[in-house]
Amino acid sequence: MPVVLLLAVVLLLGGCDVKRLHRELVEPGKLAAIDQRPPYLKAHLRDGRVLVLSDWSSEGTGVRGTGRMFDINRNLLAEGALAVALDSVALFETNVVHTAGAVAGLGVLTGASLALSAYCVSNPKACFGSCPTFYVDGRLEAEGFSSSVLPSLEATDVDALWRVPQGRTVVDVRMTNEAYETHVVRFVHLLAVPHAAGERVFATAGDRFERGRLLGPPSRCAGPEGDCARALSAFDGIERSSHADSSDLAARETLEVEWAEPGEGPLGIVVARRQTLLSTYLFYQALAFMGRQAGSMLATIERGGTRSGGWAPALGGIEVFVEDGQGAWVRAGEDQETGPLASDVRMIPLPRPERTPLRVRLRMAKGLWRLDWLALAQLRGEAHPLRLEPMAPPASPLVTLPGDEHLYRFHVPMGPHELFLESRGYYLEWMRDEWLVEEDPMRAVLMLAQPDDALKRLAPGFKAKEAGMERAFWSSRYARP
Amino acid sequence: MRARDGWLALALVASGCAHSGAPAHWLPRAVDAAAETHGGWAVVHMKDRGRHAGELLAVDADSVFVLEEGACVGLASVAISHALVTGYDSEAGKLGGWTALGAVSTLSHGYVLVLTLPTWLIVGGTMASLQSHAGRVDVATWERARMYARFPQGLPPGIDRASLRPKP
Repeated sequence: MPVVLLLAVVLLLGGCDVKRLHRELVEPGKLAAIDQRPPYLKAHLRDGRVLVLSDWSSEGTGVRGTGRMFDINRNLLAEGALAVALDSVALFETNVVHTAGAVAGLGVLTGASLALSAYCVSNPKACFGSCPTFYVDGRLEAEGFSSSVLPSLEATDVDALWRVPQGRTVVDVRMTNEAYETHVVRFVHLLAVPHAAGERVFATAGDRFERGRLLGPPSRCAGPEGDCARALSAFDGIERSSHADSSDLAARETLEVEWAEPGEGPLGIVVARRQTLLSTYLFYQALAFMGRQAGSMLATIERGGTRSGGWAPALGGIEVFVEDGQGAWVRAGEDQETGPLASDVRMIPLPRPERTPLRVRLRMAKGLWRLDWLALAQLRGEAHPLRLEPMAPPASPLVTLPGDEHLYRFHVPMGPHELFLESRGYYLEWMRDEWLVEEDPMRAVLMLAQPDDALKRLAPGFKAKEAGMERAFWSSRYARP
Repeated sequence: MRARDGWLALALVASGCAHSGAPAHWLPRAVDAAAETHGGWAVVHMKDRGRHAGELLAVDADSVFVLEEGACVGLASVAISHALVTGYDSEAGKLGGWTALGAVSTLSHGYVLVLTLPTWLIVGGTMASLQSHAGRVDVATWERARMYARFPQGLPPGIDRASLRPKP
C-alpha cells in the first residue's frame, strides 16, 4: 500500500486523534499554583454540585468564569457567567489533554518498508538482530544491554574494551544499529580505570573492577572434544564452542582447566566469551509463538505480570568450580551475560588455592557459549573508574533505527587506563513476517512458565537449524538500501 | 501481581487490549472527559467473590460508593479484594487499527526473494496495548482512583443517596 494512501486512511480512521488525559485534584488553598493552561477548571462544591468553568480567573476569595453549574445528578442548573467563593469549594480539578505518546511512536514508523534478505527467508530465526553495536578502530568491541528487549528491562551494561590500545588520549567509539530494531539509548560513557605498569583491570560481578597481573593461560584444558588449550590460549578470535544437545538445550558440559603453578595471593579466572545464537533463537522463537499478540503479551510483561521465569535461568551462565585440598569441587561463582556478537572479558574471583596444580572446572549449557580465552590473574585490589562523558553527547534518550550510526568521542586522561564501555538503554525487536506462521500464544506462555520443558521440546527444531545459523545470521545484517 | 497471576494474564491477553467493562459508549473520550461531570466506571471484586460494577461515586475513608443499576451501593474497603476504575475511553482500538494497516502495508511485492518487512507489529501492538491502559487505575489504594469519582471530595454530607441517578 503506498505510504500516502496509508496515511490518508489513518487520518480518516482518526488514528492521529487519540488522546490521553492528565487529571489533578487541587485543594482550594492551592488555587494559585494551578497552571491556567487547562481549558476547563472544575470546582467540586461541598454540597455535591460542580462548576465547569472556562476562561476563568481567581479573584481573592473566589473564582469566576464562564461555564456551567450542575447538581448532584449532573443536571444543568445554570449557565453563563458564574462565580464561586473558595470556602464553598471542596476540591478543584484540572485536566490536560495531549496526544497519546503511542501516536507519536507509531507516527515514526508510518511508511517504513524494508527489504528482507533471502537468508532470512530460508532461516527466519537466524535473521540478524542485536542491541547497539560498538566499534573502535573498525573492530566490533562491544554490544550494549543485550538482555534489554523491553522498556522495563532497561539496564546499564559495562563491556571491556580489552583490545583497544591504551595510552591514547582520544578514543572514538562508533555506535551502530545494524538490525531490524529500534534502539533507545540513554547514555554511552567511557570508563577509564587507572592502573600501574604491568597490570590490567578486570570487570567482575556487579560491575566492580579489580586490578591484577595476568599469569597466563591454562597449562591444560580438557573438554568433551578433547584438548582445548590451544583455542583458549589467547584472545585472538579463535574460539572454543560446542553443539547443543539434541534432546535438551539445557544439558550441561564441563571443561576442566589446570594451572601448574598458580602462584600466591588472591586469584581470579579471566574469561573472554560470547554466546552462540542459541539464546537469540529462543528469543525469536518466543516472539514467533506470540505472533500478532506479541505487542499485547509483551505489554502484559511490562506491567509486571511475568518478571520471574523464562528460559535464561534454565540455560544459566558459565559456572566456575575450584578443586579444594580434599578433592571436592567448590563453586566459586558464575559468569552470565547475554549477547552473541562481541566477546566480553570478565573475571571471576577464586578462593585461595589449597593445592597445586590449580584445577578449575567450567560448567555450562552445551552449545551456548563461545570461549575465546582463559587466563589466570593475580589480583591486587579494587579499582575505581573515571566516568568520561562523550564530547557533544546526543540528546537522551537517543532513538536509532536500522542503519543509524553515531560517533562518540572521548578524551582520556594521560597515563595507563583500562577502558570499558558503559551504555544504558533498551531495544525493541521488529517482528518478521516469516515468524507469524508459527503464532501460538499458549506455547509462548509455556516457554516462559515452564522453560525446562520448553528447552526439551525446542531442542530438535534448533538442532535442525544450528549448523546454518551463523552464516544466515551474519548475512542478514541490515544494510542501507 | 503474583507471578502465577501474571502467567494467567499473559495467557489471556490474546483477547486483545484492556477492557473497562463499561457499557458501550458510556465512557467519554479523553478530550470530552476534561469537561465530564459523572464518575468513571468501576469494577469492584469482593473478598467473598462478589462483584459490583457501576459509576464510581465517591471514596471515603473506609468505604467506596458505586452507583450500580441505579442504586447507590456502599462497599467497605476492607471487604474489597481488588478493583479497576476506568476514567475515559482510551480509544486504543484506533491504534490497533493503525497497527493492522501498517502491517498490511508491508505485504511483499516484487520478486520472491525480496520481502517487505513489517515494522509495526511488535511496536504498534505494544503502543496500542499501552494506550488501552490509559485512564485506567488498578486500584491498590483508592487515593488515585478517587479522581475519577463523581464526587472526588467524598460523598457530600447529608446527601440523600436514594436520590442519586445514573448517567442517562
